[in-house]
Amino acid sequence: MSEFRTIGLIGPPNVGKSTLFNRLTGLRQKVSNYSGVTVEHRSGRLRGTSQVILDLPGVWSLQPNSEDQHIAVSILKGTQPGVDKLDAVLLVVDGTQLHRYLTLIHEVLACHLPTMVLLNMADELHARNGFVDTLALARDLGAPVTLISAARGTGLDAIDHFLKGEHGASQILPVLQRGGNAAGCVTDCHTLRHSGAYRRPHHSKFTRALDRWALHPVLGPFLCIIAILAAFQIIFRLAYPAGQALTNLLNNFGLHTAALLPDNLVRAILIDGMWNGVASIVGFLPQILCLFLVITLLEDSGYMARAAVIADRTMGRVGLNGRSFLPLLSAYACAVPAIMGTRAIPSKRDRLATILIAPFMTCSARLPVYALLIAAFIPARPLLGRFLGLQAAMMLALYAIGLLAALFTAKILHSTMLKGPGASFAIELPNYRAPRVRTVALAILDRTKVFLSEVATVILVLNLVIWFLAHLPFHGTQAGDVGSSILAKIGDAIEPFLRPLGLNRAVGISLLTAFVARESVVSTLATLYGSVNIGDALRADIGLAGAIALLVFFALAMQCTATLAVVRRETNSWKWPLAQFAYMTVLAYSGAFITYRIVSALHF
Amino acid sequence: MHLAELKRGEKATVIGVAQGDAFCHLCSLGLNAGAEVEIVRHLSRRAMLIVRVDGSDIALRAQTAAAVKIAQERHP
Repeated sequence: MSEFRTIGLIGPPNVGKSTLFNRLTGLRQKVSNYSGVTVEHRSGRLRGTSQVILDLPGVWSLQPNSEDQHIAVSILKGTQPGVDKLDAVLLVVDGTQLHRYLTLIHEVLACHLPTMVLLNMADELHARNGFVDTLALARDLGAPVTLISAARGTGLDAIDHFLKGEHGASQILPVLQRGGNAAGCVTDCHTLRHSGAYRRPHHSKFTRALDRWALHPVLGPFLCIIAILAAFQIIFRLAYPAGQALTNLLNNFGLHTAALLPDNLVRAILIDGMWNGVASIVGFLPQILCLFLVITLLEDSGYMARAAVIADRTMGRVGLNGRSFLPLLSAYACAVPAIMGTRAIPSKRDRLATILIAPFMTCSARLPVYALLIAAFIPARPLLGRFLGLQAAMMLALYAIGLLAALFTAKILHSTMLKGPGASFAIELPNYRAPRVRTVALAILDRTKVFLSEVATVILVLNLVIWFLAHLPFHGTQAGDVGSSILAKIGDAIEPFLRPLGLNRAVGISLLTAFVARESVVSTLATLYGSVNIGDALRADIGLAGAIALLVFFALAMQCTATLAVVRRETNSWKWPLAQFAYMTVLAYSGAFITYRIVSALHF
Repeated sequence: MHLAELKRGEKATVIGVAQGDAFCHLCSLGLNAGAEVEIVRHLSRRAMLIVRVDGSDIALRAQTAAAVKIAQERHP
């Protein structure tokens, strides 16, 4: 019997399918999307062979009632455009929960492809005193069955034998079960159990004991908050300064290199246009890596599900469910990993809603801008005696505005575009386990690869475009000044729209440059005003009301090319990021307008 | 009788799950006909249930649990 050329790897989510895929292929994999949908297409070559393994979307059943399942079914049937017909199937399920997966096993076997059933987590099954007689099960199913541990890499040689076609054809070809229909789980489980072929593993006592605390009505939320605070401490104390230091280092390197190059247009494009973009992306990395680390640790240890349960009640009020909680929370550090983290949300609708509201959370990149603008434009007056100054109050208000806008948007989305029954929430509480270094490292590596290859390129291109706009037309061999650039012309054009907000042309131009990096608002203003103390200059120009309106605009507008790029990547279309951008700009504009009117009328 | 009506510590057997939005998802969590269920505890004033299904724990909203029809075992 000849080798199988194309092999499909199928199984439910969270049974170690990706770990097995990584084991089988090493890192030689390609990730793309199936045309027109957000479902990921992963394929790779089996180690040491030319056989291709396709990682099918994680499915619980083959009823085509979701995008993932639809694609999995059409791949199994060989009707998915652009995907080769499968020659064989590896079906992986969690061996410790075999009774749950018998329906899926029968459905897959009914597809008549040579199939091997892999019972993963064999180590845990044995450790918890469970037992599966693989031969008896194989006889019953009419397909080869083997116990493996993808995390430890045991039992994988049986897969090799199967894929090399070393079993007899009669053993491999599945027998149609009970008239072609998937047999009910109940009878099979009972039969298996009674015949002694299957013994359910004992519960993990450790998990139960821990859940008594983690899901306690009072202590649970408390522990959850402590875990989150610890994570944020790591990100803000370690990763954020590390990123800042890295950016400074790279910028200095750019400056030193610039000194060596002749002073012309090429240097300006290379250093200002491109290198600074690279520096800001690399400076971003420590934070993003750190967030990925925290998210994967929470996922892999099993705590993520408990946090979702605890947060569900609060999230339910705005039509979301508990699973959106951690992604939204990580958006307080940075929206980019948060949006990538929404992949853990199974419902497409909830996932999209979470992606759309995540950029409203006050991310760490907004913080220095807030601090700078507040220090520059908001006078340090006491507001509530000695306890709360106007500056601190402004900062708190900006955080609150972001959160309120997110909740408001979620509510609107829930009752309009993303309307659905959606009130249901059910989640498995997996056993706690020590996160495995290999699994966590591979997950982080994978997400970082996506970030660098797909998000970073978009950021670079957009940054370069804005740089050119800010410096065209060129004067001979020198880049033009921002004040007389195309961007300034655009600034002139939008100025009438900014007037009602109390803002002027200089602010308009600086808002445009802020797309590249929010910090550049201040430096652009400095260039345009030509004075060091822009605070005084601007206060004279736009007044306190204008300054507060500007801050509100900043809190609500989607001024981040990285977020735009990652939303495009995660939704696999430009439609959503553009709609989101338009919506947030309109909201920011209205918010700033109302703020300006109110503050003007009140006081100044 | 449905799953949300059970009290803490009570056991029952699933008869079936009402077809609907969450049907597929609930089946994948082991809530099939014949499965043994037990309420481990309630959270947020009974709005959230922690349920032991055939030995493994799941959490679900009471609203969602109402779709799961059960029959209670009779204890002497």
